[in-house]
Amino acid sequence: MTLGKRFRKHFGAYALLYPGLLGVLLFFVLPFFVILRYSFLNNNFSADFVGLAQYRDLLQNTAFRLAARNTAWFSAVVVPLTVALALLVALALNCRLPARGWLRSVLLSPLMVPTASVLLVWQLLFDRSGAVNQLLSLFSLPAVAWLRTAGFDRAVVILLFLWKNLGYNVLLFSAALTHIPKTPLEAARIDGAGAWRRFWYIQWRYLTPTALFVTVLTLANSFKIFREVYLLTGDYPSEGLYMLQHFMNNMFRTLNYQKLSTATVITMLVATVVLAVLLWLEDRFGREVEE
Amino acid sequence: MKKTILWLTVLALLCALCGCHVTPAPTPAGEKTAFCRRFVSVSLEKAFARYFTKLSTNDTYTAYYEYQNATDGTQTAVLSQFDYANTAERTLYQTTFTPGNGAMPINVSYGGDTVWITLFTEGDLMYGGTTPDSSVLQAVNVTDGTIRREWNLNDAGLNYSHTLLATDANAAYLAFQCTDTPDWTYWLIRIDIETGELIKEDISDNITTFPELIMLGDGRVAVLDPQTETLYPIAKDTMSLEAPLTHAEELKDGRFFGGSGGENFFYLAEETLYGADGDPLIDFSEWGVNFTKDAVRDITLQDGVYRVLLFENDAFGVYTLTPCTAAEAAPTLRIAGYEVGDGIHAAASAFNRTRFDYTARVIDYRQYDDDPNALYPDKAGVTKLNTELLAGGDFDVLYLNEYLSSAVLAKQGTLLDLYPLLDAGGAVTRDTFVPRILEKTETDGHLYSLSIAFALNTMLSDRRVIGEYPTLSVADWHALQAAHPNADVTDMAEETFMYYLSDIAVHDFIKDGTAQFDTDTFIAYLETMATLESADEKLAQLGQGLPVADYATVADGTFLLMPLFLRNLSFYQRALCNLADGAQFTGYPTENGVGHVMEFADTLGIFAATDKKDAAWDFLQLTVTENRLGLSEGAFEQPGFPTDRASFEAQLDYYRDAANFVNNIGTPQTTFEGAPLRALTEEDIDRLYEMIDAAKPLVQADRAIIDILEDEVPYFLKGEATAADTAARIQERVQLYLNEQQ
Repeated sequence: MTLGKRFRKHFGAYALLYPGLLGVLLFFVLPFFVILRYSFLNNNFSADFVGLAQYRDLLQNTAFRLAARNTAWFSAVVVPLTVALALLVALALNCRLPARGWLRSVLLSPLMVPTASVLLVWQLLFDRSGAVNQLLSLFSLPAVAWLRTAGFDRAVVILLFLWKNLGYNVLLFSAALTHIPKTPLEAARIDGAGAWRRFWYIQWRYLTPTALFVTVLTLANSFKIFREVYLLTGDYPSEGLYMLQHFMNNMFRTLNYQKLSTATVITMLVATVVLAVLLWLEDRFGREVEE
Repeated sequence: MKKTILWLTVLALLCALCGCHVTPAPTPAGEKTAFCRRFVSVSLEKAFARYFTKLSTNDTYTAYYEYQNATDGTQTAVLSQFDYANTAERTLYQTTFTPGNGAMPINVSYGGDTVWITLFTEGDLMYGGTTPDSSVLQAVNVTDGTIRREWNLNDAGLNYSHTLLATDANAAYLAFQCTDTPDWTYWLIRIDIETGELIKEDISDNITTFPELIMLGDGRVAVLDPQTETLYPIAKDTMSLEAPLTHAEELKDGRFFGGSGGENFFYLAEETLYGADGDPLIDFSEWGVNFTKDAVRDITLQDGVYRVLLFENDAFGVYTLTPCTAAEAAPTLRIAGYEVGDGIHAAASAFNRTRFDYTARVIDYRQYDDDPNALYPDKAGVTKLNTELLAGGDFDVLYLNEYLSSAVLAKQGTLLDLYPLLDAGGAVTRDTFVPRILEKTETDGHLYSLSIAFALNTMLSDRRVIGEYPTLSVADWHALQAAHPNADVTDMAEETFMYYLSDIAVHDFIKDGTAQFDTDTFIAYLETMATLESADEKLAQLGQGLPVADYATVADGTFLLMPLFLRNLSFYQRALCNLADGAQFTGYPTENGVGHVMEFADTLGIFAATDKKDAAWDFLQLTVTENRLGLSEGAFEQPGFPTDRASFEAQLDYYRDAANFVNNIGTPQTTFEGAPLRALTEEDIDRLYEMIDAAKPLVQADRAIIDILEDEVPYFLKGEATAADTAARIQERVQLYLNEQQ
């Protein structure tokens, strides 16, 4: 089939594809190359080419390293935690629990509430004279400055992340669970396989592609925790909550476009590698299941 | 498909790497889509009263004014025609009279060769006499000064203020308000020289307040009701009011002007001129013509040329806007900022009246806030400005303040170093500034901004009460507190103290890029702050007559220190006079011996990427040198002392001269508090210079540090954190900020 014939045959598909492709090109690809260019300049005005100097300076910048470390730590903690908890809740909901549908709705409700109002509630909860401390006082426990004490502030943010992201992940796992064929599970039960073995050797194999997808999604969301932390603690939070997006936001505020661009390029490279690995894993395990 | 995507990608890459952009199609050459501006000022310095001004369409305007002869005190009334194209004055008619012995002109109008004047002579009924007030209308021939005809307006029932409009040499209209009856009535009179007829018409049914007269473009005269902003054309034969002419409903609080150039009348709202059909004709500000609405005396339009007659600061001036091609029009000099001060708007206006090769335009990005009128705007405008700056926006001059910090911008190469421009030998050099002022704003030997004004934030004490304290440490503060147990150290609130702490933070608690807030000194500051009351507590006590630190309470020892924002010599003189020999500018508590903070106002820098560097520098020079910071008049509104050395020294000279502080009978004037005013001595001036030399400049770069302090300190003040914990958290967060800047 010639190129012209192929084009005519798939014209409808191309017509639908082009606007989106153009958008991606204009608003993602093009800006990325602009940013890439800025990362090799001394500043936007004299625009002198400085090679990798910006990258060298940035990698030596203690604030950037702290932000990168915190972001990596946060992702390393919340991604497995969220995926595991979501899976557990989905498995629990998969059993014949009463009010299962209602529970699913409750888990999804955080997605429907605007972040700003959610954070207002969280601030009230974890304020020094907030609900949590009042609860503690019932047990004669001392009040804690949750958002101003190292360790506790991270715990609050992790809790907030779980609360906000768990429901959607549960939904994805629940959907995947309903698509697992019943026959192998029944056969395994008849053969005397226990619940753990049935899960590990049958359900988990079917759930692997979903788990990988959920992991990718959660990882992307973990990078976006900045919004919540920013609204809770401002531009310069305590060291433990200082994320990469704080660094980038503050660079924008202080008009340091070169550091901002360089940090964006590095973050994107790292994220691309991590996502590539995850997608490769998804592809590999997904294919195994399909086979 | 693959090829298309490939080509698109290559194109995108090329665009990204070359920074190319699409430009709109050019306007056809020769098309007059713009306006060229010209402004001529005619000061009329000798005039002390001006009664009539009218623009002609031939580069002239006519004015009727009076001036006083300096030697014999006689007054002369002159009808002059000013040729502003050649700045020449031609006297049409003049008359000399003795003040106080004749009638006072109330209104003047001019048509053909006739000047129409209403003269008011005050009677003595109020003083027990028998002569009533009288109003007379005279029609005077300008060629020989003879009175063509005269009318007694009292006979016509006119007894209150009125407006007069001559239609030509032989006819004029008067509109007035009559107060004889309990309900005021409004009247219209038409006067005809030939017949001597004076036709009177009651227009109270249509007019609700003091009526004005306007000459319409079609030759008719109209009465304006300023309350309802409605124009009623007058039927010449019957003197009745015709169907009203109105302007677009959404337009309010503007002014009507007589019509010309095919427009029956003009309506000016803000700086936009509307035609009779309510369509906008021209936005004057777009072409660099800025004025206050009340300053406009007349507007005309002829052959597409707009002329605006202004009266401002005792001077007349005429703007002409002539249609020209875009290439001929003056390029725009863009002055951008957030919360731009009034002084910069005034400077742009002054620039546009002297320079016609550029049009200075001030763009205040506060207009882009979601709600610009909100008490605490969301500062969306700042984000927009930052974004445009980063994108290499089309700016020439930047207005610098806490939102757009010179230090931050300079670090990114956004601002030009001004020292080379100062050293180029122009009108403004390093030596034309108050000594050491420039050093306080420089960064690593470069100067990125110039300020028009500076002020000193300090604390005043009485050395006769507290002893010699040229500076004060935190320990001194507590020692004073112990030594004067019945006195309050200051009336500062916790919040005020924190502002000061924010001011000095960058000087006292950051050394070589390292924060030093977790120190005993800073903790001592926090604990000192906790001894003060909060602003809320103070407000709550106000009803019970909360004492405040003023000169009297400082002198009698009720308060030991009084915060003082020293921003003009009047304030300085007042402090010295009120505390006699005891005035001592102690400054705020500090550990490094300098307790005064210097703030700058109306600060400008030149955008590094501007292609109009010379014009931008001219603008900066004009703003700095133009002495808009007067002496004592309006002292409270002044942003500070002028940074321009000549202006500052002129002010000092004024305050050195004792003659300026005695009244007509030779006794000293007094301060607001009643102390006799005295001239500043050389010793006083030396003290002021010492304070200026020593003061720590407020560094605008560190808004982030101020935010962190304002965020953390309240937890300590509320008792939710100890001073040490608060200091530690501030240390951690500020250090994070400093690390980012590495």
